[in-house]
Amino acid sequence: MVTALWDTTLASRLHPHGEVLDYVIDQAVAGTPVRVAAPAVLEIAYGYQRIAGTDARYGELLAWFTRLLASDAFSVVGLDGRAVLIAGRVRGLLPHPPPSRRDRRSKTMRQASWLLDIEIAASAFAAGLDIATENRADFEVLGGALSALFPDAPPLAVADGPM
Amino acid sequence: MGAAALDERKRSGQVKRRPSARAPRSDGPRTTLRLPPALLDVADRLAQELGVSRNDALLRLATRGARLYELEQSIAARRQQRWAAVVPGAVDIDAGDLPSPEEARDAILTASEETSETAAS
Repeated sequence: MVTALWDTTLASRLHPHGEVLDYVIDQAVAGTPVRVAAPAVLEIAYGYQRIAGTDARYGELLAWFTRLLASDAFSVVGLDGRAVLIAGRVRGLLPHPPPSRRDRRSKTMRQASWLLDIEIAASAFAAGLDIATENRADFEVLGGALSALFPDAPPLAVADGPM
Repeated sequence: MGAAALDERKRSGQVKRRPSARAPRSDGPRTTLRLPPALLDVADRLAQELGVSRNDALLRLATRGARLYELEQSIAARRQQRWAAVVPGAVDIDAGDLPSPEEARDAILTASEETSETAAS
């Protein structure tokens, strides 16, 4: 799905020994590089960095991921002025994440993650893209909020990842 | 070699076409292009790789480029449609009932504090 923006659940599957990397490289060679949301890159870097101090393997992985990003193997879609305005309005409508029994993270972490998901959805919406995710439930809620705020806009489609 | 001489050689069978040298027949209009060397190099490499003619390779490259162009155009159009739905029409500030500057600032800063407290609790 070349019109979709990858969220963190998909981008976090990038690994030197994973088949997702093959897909990403194939797409880059075909001239349709995978698009990854900037907040997803933030979450990946944060996830590796906070463990790298105690587990050197994550430092290696972070170095690999940094080189991959620097090589333009995928495209990063950033938060521009349009996206942050839209994200702020969505956050005003849905300040807290939907309750989830499966999510065992602390309230603080869930809140931070929710804000990043809002930014990802807003980035896709502002860029004219859809969302590709393994977390359909939350992004469908965000898509609904966008449709409620902007009923005349083409809706945000939420799709599964390509793998 | 002039065109007349080439025609003569064709008639006499001195010019033979390679079996793979023809692009697939199409109904579109014919055109003549002056190709930059870099593009010609790519087309020739693709032609060799696929065992097709230079013209066929050029058509394949152009088709792929056209597909990418259409894709980017459709994304750009949707981007514009969505933004048009976000931006309101004319706003009459004088006729509006607005919060004071202090109230407006409080709304922003208080919301930030509430979020921080909620997250920390």
